Amino acid sequence: MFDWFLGLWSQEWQEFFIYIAGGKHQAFYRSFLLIPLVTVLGGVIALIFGIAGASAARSKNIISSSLGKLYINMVRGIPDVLFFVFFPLAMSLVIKIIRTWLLCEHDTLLFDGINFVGCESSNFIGSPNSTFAYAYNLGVACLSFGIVFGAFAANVIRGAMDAVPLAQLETAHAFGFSDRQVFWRFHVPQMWVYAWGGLANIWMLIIKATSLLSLLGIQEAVWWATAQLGPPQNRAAVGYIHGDWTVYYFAILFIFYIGLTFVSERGFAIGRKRIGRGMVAV
Amino acid sequence: MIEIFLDYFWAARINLYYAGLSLPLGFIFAIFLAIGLTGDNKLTQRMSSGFVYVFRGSPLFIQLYLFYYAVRATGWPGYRPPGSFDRPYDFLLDALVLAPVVLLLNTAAYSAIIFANALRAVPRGDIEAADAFGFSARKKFWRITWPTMLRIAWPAYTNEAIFLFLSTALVYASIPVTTRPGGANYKDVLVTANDIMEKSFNPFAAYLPAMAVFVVLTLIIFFFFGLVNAHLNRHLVRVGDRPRLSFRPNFIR
Repeated sequence: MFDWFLGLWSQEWQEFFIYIAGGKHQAFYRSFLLIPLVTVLGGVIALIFGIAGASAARSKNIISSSLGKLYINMVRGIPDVLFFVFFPLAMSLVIKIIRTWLLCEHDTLLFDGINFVGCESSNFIGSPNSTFAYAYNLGVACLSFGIVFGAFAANVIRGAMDAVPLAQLETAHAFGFSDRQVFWRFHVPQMWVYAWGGLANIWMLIIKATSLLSLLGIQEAVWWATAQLGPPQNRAAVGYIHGDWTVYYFAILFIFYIGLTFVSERGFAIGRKRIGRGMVAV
Repeated sequence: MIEIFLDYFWAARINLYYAGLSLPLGFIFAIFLAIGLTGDNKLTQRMSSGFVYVFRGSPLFIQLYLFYYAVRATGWPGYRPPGSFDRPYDFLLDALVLAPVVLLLNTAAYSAIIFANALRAVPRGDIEAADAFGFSARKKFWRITWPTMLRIAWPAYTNEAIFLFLSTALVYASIPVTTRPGGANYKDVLVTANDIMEKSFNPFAAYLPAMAVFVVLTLIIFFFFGLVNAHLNRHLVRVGDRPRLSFRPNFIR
């Protein structure tokens, strides 16, 4: 299909183009799709956690309000990378413990000191290359993104909820709307305008955090660059002999992320204009 | 359990080293960037805003990788591919040397925005008053603009400093741990936690204490920045008027 294109080039360049269009590289290019996918899924989960956390923190009940505040403040003192490494491992350990209770013999040892023991059938992921393992890892990654950035979103949404003029809500109450109706029909729709800037920031954060996906055990661009494509290639059987290319792959990633930031900024600027329509003073 | 905590606090000295080295240098660089951003010179304005955009628009994780492999690709000084056993000590590839440079550039970009906003927020009347008193440009900057800017910027800068400290945990996720002849231990909290995880398969025992250590150190840093804040605002007598430090970071890397 690309013969006419390859005909324009010398032998070495032809080999180069065939190499960078090959199977491994196609997987590398495809792995870039994970970035928007995880950003959107993680963002949606973060939004759900954010609304839940914010309404918990603002509630009159002392227990739920302190739980909400604890959640909002939790992530502030903890490095995100530590949580991202911790959460999938903790999740799988919890599932393993439950499986040990259900599937192993009754007197199976759970822990020896701090070391986890369990039995054969407490392991559940199986082959790391299976579709289940892939989907599970991706789901857990999105969930941990959602938890961390949900705390940031909760903070933004709490501020935005406080910013909605009280008169609006009082008027709604006066017209006989119930608490629930006031929350969903007046408070939440008006809150978006105030929350927009902060949520845009969180979107950027999630985009940048997607670079950490390789630490969550997902084979994405960073993994391809460091473990697969970057290192020097000496065997002709691979298709192309080259030195250490890792820096070029990271240059591509670097530029890709800056481009993504640029596009998102433009998108949010347009959205900002649209969302402010119909509001009195913003 | 106590030993794990002690291990982590001992390992945290590496994180504190990274933050302690890159933060003051990044502060100085950020001031120059902020002056460039707010200045009238179009060229310096373009250059500083370009720098800030690039370093704020890309993840720190990728920046660390990029710098590490870029230095490696230069082959200087004396990098040899893996497999040669008499590998010389590569000064520039040492995480203890390379990581502070990247962190410095990163924190400078984030703080430059904070300081530029603060510079723009310095009350116009104060500067006009200084002009009326016949202050020289230098005196005007050091007596009026500088202290006011610092006071306005400090709460936001505190959060930036804390987030720089937290993001030092990323260093060893990308750059390999320093190994020196003699086998000295330069592991940070994350690597220590990963080691314990590998031994015990128990993420709760490995990572929860590590998180606790970060929370404790964050509160200590916050306390010291609060002292500086009180010093910067010492002339404001009425307590209610003081800009209160609140732990409200709104970005991470």
